[in-house]
This record gives sequence, structure tokens and C-alpha cells, in this order.
Amino acid sequence: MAITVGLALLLLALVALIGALRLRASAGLPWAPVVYRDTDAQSPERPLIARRIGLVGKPDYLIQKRGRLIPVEVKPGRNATRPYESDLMQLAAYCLLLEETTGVAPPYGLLCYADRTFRLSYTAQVRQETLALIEEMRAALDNECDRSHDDPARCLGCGFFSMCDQALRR
Amino acid sequence: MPGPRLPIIRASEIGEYVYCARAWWLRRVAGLEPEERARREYGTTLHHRHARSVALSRLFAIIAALLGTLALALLIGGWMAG
Repeated sequence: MAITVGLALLLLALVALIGALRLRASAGLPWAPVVYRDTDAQSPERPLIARRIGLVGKPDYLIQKRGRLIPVEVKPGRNATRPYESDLMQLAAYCLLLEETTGVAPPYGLLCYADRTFRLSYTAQVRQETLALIEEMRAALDNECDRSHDDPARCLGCGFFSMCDQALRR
Repeated sequence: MPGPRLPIIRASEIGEYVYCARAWWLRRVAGLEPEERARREYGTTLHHRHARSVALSRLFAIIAALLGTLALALLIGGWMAG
């Protein structure tokens, strides 16, 4: 009797394990402990603040892999075969924030779209590009800032399309 | 002595700026609010759904571990008794 019940429970355990793995895979996250989560309104996380460089932000998740923290940015409504540059740079900013606040640079960050996850290697070049971008933005705070692309589709997808004096109209 | 405080830039603003510098400027400096509130609210809903999936996967893993432990205890007990 005990063996029959034991085998039944083992089967249930297997079903639960498969369910867990499938759910995590569908979320685009690797199987690793989540130590920070800002996707839930019930438990908002504190932002990461790097005063030295004047950068602040809240990644969607921080997961722990081999003792290192990895930032994760989630764009669940986005489907694309290649990651958007804007999303990659936002993720790079979280890598920089993590490095500044913990003293340890993450080896990479993850960008989760609806059906695939991309990895951004956090290299010295990415770090420099992010710092340069922050400086550029800070300088733009005191100046008028022009449209930085010539893509009508991008304009059309922008929330400022109807009020932007530089929007590209077809 | 600490230097003057730098204007704070949010990481999400960096994404906006790369998408379009003008759009970022219109929000940050000109103080305008983007349209398509419904789309942003939908994005928030999707984020919450994602969080539920991640939390549920953890719960399932805990249940699997508990059931597995109990199953092994019963199987070992059964074999030893038999």
C-alpha cells in the first residue's frame, strides 16, 4: 500500500516539476533564484541608486546565477527577431547600476520578449557607451533636443506622435 | 567635499532616448504626457501576468520537492517493511 501511494506521489511530483519548468521557460527566465522583482504591484522594490553617476532605476528582475546577480528586463508585449537598441541600452543601464551599487559587474543581462530571450554581454565597451549616453542626455537637459531617427513607423508608434512638431508624417 | 549633485537620469529614460531623443525631451524637459494610456496599462497587466508565472513556477517547484520527499519516504518505508 505504502509503495503504491509512494509511486503515485512520485508521479504527482514529476507532474509538478514539469509544470514548474514549463512555466519558467514560458516566462523566458532561466531556472535560477529570483532575488528582486519589480513586476508585481503588491510588492514594489526599492530602486537601485548610483549617486556617483546620477543614475537610478528598477530592473524587472534580478536573478542569481553562480553567485552573480543578473538583471532582467521584460517586454512581454513585444515580438521581434532582433532586440531593439533602445531595450538593450536600458538593460545596459541596469547592468551599470548593478555594478555601481554592488561593486560587482554582472557578466550579462537578459532581455525577455514575448517569445524569446536575448542576452546582452556587459563588456567594457557597453559600459562606456552607456556612460556616454548618460552624459549626452544630461547635456540635452539644457538644450532643445531633435528627433534622432528617420523612421516613420517609429514615429507612428510613439505616444507623442500627435503632439510632436518633428514627427514624420506619411 | 562632495561635488554638485548630478541631475538624475532613470534607466528607463535611456531606452526612451535611444528610441527617439525628441520623444524623451518632450516628456522629460517639456513635461508632456504621451498618449495611448490604454497601451501602457496593457503593458502593466502583462508585467503582472509575467510575475504570476514566475511566482507560480516557484510554487510548483516547492510542491514537487515536498511530494518527491514524501514519496521517497513512503517508498523506502514500504520496501523496508516488505
